[in-house]
Amino acid sequence: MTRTRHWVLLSAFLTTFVLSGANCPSIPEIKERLVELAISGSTTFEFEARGITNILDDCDQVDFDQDFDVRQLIEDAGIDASAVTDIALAGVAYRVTRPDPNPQRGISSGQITVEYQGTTESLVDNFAEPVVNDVTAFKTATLNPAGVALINQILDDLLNDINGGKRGGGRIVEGCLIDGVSSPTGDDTNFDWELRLTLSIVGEIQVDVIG
Amino acid sequence: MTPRRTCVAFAVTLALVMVASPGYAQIEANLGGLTAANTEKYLEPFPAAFSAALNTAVFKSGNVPKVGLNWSVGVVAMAVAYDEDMTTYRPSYPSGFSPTDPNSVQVPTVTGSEQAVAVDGQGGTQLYFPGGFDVENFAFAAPQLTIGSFMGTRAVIRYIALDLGDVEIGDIELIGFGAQHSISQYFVALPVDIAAGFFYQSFELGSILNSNALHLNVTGSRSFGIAEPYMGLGFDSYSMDVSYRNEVDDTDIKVEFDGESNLHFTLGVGVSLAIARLNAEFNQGATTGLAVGVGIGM
Repeated sequence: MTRTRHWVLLSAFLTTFVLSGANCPSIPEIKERLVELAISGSTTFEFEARGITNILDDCDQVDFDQDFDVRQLIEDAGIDASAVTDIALAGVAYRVTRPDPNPQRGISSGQITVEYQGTTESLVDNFAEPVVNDVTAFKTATLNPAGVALINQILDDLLNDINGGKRGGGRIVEGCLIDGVSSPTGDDTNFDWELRLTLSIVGEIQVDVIG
Repeated sequence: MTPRRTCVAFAVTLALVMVASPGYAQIEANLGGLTAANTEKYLEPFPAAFSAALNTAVFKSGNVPKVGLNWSVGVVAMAVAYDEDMTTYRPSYPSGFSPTDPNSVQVPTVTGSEQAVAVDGQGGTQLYFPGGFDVENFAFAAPQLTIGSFMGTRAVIRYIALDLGDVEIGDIELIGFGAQHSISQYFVALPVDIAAGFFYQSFELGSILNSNALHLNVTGSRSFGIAEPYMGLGFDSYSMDVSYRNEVDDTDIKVEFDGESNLHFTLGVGVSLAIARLNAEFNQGATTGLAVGVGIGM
């Protein structure tokens, strides 16, 4: 192959490449980036439905600071506490963890409430699980905006605690399943279930990247 | 980022990579809140870029002596462009979260915007998706040794292990080995030197990312004084998996990505100055890449 043919081949290739619009790496350099990380955490209310023939009324307490372990989550992610910009309730899910011996067992008309610093709001209305005779995967609960707003208020208070350097918990919420109708009647209720609350946390970190 | 940027020469050093790599330490933190399906989408730009980068600058000449000691040791540095069309993705949603408008949301991939995106959910809930690192290129450098020859065959080895001093990510380890065998030795009076080779690599990023690359290649080259242009045609395959702990379900997740398989075209030139050898090359594999190398040998 002559020298001329070499250059023709090379030119043809480069022309084809440029016309193809292919992107090409530029000069790599170290760049500073302020990246918003998003992390999640969850905690679970555990309920034991026992010996009640008809109406359920069961409560549990969650300390949002301690049980979610938010401080550990943000520390593990490498986020400085002062750089956390928001914590929000991302969702609520429930599941049966131990089925009822009675294969006909079901719950209807339940209401899940949350209480915080004297304010009580409904988080879930008309909670229903037609059959609790088997262990289930987590299912998404339909939420009441007032209850979500109350939990987000707790999270705002918790974020202020974290940003202010306050420690020691105390953001305690009482969650209750009340007025749930267990059926069939005449046979004691006997199953376990869980309610999982998931938080979504966002915070900023400064990183150096090459690119 | 313009769709048709002018390709420019680049220089990247091992030190540069060592300093900058800890930026990826935060990837694991971001993954902790993502489901397996979203992790696959968030890291979607990685396989093609890693495949193209790892399978670059392996074979830089078609001239493999039939016998006698010949060796070179040096550093090769590669940079590839991430796919510009992979800066956002449409997420799927975990149990417990019900988005109000599931089809309208696009969130950043690992190479996309640094801004996290809040998706509004039923009842006033919000789910944040992490921002990316707003990077256009993946760059990497590694030491490389070639040594031969026995029956027209030489070995090629790459190895680098960096302890980044970050408990989140651990370290980076790349190990690669392969061989190149002279084809032109079987022919008389070929106008160019031709050699065929294979190269296998294992690349690990801390305890999070494991990947394997295989590069099959035929390289042709010819010396013109101190310069030796070369051209390669090859085949790349790449597989990657990512392991992390999901903080919501408190479960260990392993995501296996779709493998990459593609043709690989290389066009480069080497320049020999006494015992030093420099080379620069253009590559079109899973994506477009450039590489430079510097080494000594005889």
